[in-house]
Amino acid sequence: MTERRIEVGLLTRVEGEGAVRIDMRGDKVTRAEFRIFEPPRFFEALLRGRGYEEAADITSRICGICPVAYQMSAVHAMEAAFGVGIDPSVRLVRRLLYCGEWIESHVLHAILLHAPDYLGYGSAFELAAAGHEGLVRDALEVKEAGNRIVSVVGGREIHPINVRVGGFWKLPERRALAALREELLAAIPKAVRVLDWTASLDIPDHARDYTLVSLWHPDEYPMNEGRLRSTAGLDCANDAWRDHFEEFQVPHSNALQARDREGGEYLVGPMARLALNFGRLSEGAREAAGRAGLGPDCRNPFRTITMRMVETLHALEEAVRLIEAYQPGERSAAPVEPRAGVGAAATEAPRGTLFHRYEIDGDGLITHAQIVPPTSQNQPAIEADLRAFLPSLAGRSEAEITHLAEQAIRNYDPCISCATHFLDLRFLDA
Amino acid sequence: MHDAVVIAVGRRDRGDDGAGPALLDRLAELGAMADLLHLRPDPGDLHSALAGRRVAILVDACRSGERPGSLRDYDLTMASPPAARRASHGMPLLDAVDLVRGLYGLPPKCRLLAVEAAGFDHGSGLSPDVADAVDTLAERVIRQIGRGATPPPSGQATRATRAVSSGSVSGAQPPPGT
Repeated sequence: MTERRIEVGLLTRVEGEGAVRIDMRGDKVTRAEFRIFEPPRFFEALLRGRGYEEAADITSRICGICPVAYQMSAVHAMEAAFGVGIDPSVRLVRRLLYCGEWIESHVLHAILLHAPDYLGYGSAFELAAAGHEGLVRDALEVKEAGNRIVSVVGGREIHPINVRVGGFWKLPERRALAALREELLAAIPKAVRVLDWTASLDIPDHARDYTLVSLWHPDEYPMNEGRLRSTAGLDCANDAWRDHFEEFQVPHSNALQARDREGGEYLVGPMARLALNFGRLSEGAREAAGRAGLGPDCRNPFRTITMRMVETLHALEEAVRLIEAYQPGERSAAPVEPRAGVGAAATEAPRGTLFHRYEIDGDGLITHAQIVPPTSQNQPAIEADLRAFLPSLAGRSEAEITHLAEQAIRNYDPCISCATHFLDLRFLDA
Repeated sequence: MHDAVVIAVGRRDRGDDGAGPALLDRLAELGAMADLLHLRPDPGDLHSALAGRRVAILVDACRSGERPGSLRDYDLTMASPPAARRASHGMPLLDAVDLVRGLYGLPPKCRLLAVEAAGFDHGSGLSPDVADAVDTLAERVIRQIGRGATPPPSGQATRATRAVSSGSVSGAQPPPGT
């Protein structure tokens, strides 16, 4: 019986230094390990002894692609600890800021990093050179619209500097948002073209019966607020993540993984959000999803490229709606009176649910922090996908197996995608 | 908007990686007739900065083994130089240039000025060789793009954003690579 070992080599210029090892015996995958070997970054330890107001800016440094998500989960958790209620204008602007991050993160991944997989190209450069320059141009210009939101609202495109517990340091002026609105309107047809293009791709026919977890909100597609729900029937407050899930360590990864309290793997991210919140997409996004054949029941992870574009279109339309509704409040932030306590919150990062929990002492200093990012939660699902999907390729070449493994990993937009598209795979004779 | 732009990448707090931003400071003092932009090499930002320009000059630090402070001048309009593409700022600058050239085209005159660096240590300033090279480079750039009539007094400008009679530096310190 043929035995093969597939190893994913060192990934350079990435936020998470990762590897994958797959052992196959005949048509069985006997081992599938998604290895994150980047040394622990100790952010949770770094936060101990720091002031509550520092958490948003410190944790935003965890990720250069989704810093807003870290800021949002941090400030919501702190506000929960101190019983702070935010103003309507702050709530609106936070959601607008999150829209910007979803747009820039989703488009970066979907077109510049993931799309080449579907056509056999090594990079977006090759994709553009092979006659898809219009697609790449559209994608870059949509991404630029997302960058602009984060820049105008957050102060700069990456690691924005305007977020604080209780609100913002400064609320945007309506005039600035009016100019932004025009840019967003111009980006919408480009996003539609990109979305429709992804729907035309030859998608691998693989699906699994996932347990999907995301925030759910009765009135809006979830970003900052909502209850934590799952397709398995979970329905709880979003600060109760620890009651239903737990982190655990495996020998092959320096990143903690997560499972539900019964030991089951689950999935967070666009597929989960669509499954649980499809009816609250914007009208244009819902129509486009329907045109692409996507609904709340899709469980093919290789279709997440289109799901991300559906959410991109939603974020563009939502951002326009928010700008049109914006009335600056009289203050940019609610007053904050720190006190000893515990606060927790989950928000929806582009890649999925991001949970923060802080214990604060009477001086407003952090005594304990827990941060559970979506990629950590998705690691077991990534490994399960490899175990489930690769046996169908047992008779194929190593190159074909490698390609599907890479593509399956990228379905999750893991944090290792921030700087490079390439997964450098190496085969070893077992 | 000027029809010429000088674009610097690099970080001020990483030794000679700050050569580009230092050049912008010097050009602002000299009253360069150009927009002076400190960017990260993002294709979208680069395209926005280059669109509609007649002249574009990109400035970055490099390591090739030459003497620190050595200057290299490349014409980017048709193709990028065959250099190793590593970067401390995220996407390599030449990759971003290639993408913009392929998707949108570049200005009729588009050059890359590379300054050989001595080191990129955290928290250190420019090495003496590179600091001297910045002055030389500033004069070279001024010859290409022209000078305004009334340069401001030296040393009065701030780092992030300044307004001068002709050129102005804009763009906050780019965040670190992601």
